[in-house]
Amino acid sequence: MGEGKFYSLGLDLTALGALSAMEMQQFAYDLQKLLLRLLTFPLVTVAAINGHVYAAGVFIALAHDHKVMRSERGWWCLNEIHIRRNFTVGVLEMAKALLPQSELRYSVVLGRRYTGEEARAAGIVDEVCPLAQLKSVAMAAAVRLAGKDGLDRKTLSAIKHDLYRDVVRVLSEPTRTYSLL
Amino acid sequence: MEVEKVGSCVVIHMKLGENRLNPAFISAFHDALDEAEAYEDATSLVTMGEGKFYSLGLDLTALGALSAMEMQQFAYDLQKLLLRLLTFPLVTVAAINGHVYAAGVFIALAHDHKVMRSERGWWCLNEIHIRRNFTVGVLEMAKALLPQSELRYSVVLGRRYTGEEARAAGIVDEVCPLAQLKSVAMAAAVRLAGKDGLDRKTLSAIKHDLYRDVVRVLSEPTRTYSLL
Repeated sequence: MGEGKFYSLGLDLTALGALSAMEMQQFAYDLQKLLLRLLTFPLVTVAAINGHVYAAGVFIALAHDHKVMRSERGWWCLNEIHIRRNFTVGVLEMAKALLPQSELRYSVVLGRRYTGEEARAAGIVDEVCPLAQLKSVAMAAAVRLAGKDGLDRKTLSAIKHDLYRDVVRVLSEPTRTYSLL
Repeated sequence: MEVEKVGSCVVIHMKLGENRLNPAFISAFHDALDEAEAYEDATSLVTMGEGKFYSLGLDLTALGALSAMEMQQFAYDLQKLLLRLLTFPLVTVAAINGHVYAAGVFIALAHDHKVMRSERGWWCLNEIHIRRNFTVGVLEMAKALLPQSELRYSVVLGRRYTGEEARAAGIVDEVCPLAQLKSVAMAAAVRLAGKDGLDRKTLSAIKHDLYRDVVRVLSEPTRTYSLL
């Protein structure tokens, strides 16, 4: 869960601009490793999207098993097209595996901005609720999905790892982009 | 083929009757697309048929008169057209004014957004009914661009959909009566392109990369897995 108006706005382009080429390459790889770790995490994972979630922040949220978003404020947006950036191979595989296929053209290509309600209607998040209830709704979902005794950690991680095998594979490889701009 | 510029939107009117695909049609389509791209202030493209037809697919009569090599070239040129539409540097909207069958369906599928006439006209992949198989290229398009749960009905079983049924199945994105079709399609095009339009180079690159598997097979020589 984030705080205030933001879940995550994505890359810190200011800070990243100060990195050397090698540091940037390391960072890109470390980001993929974080996404991979979240995606295959040995616990049930729920994203409580309390506010704006943009660009790379979207992929952090997508790596969770279940997503609850605030209903009355905040936007979900893959704004890469609007800032003339392309997607890496890794996050494109995430998008194809984790977003509804019929929504890819609007969300990934055309950079559509969704309110919480619109995101829920489009199948991009799983639940919406007012901010005041967000933490408890997210926790209730987490507890419900984990079940009374929880889920075996080793099996949970293995199934995630294998169901999302194509995504895991590209996230484990050096960061690359198909078409350079 | 007529090209009409309306503000930031370019409308390509396909006015060749049933708009069946043959070498002349593909060539004319490319010319129209060239004209659309050449408008520097254009940010979106709408394609629309005329009368009862959006496109009925391959012109089997004309293609039957081609030599084997000409047919191979045509098949490749069709893939190149689909590829060009799929990765086009403008927002693309298909205004499906009437019947859209077989290869015509894939022309429509290559657009970002699809509006179909509600009260008349059918959407149908009728290949099964005329005992034809699909090429590898269009199968990849179908898998990437049609709702997964609808593939068995549309691709395998050749189900025929009205505009309303297509909308309910997620095969087209909007329906409306014919009288409003052009304006609804253009409104969608303008809305999706946004106030300032989308950067052409980035737009084409993202389409190219999101649809990478489709792009790859459409760039290869035409082939079919199972021969009939």
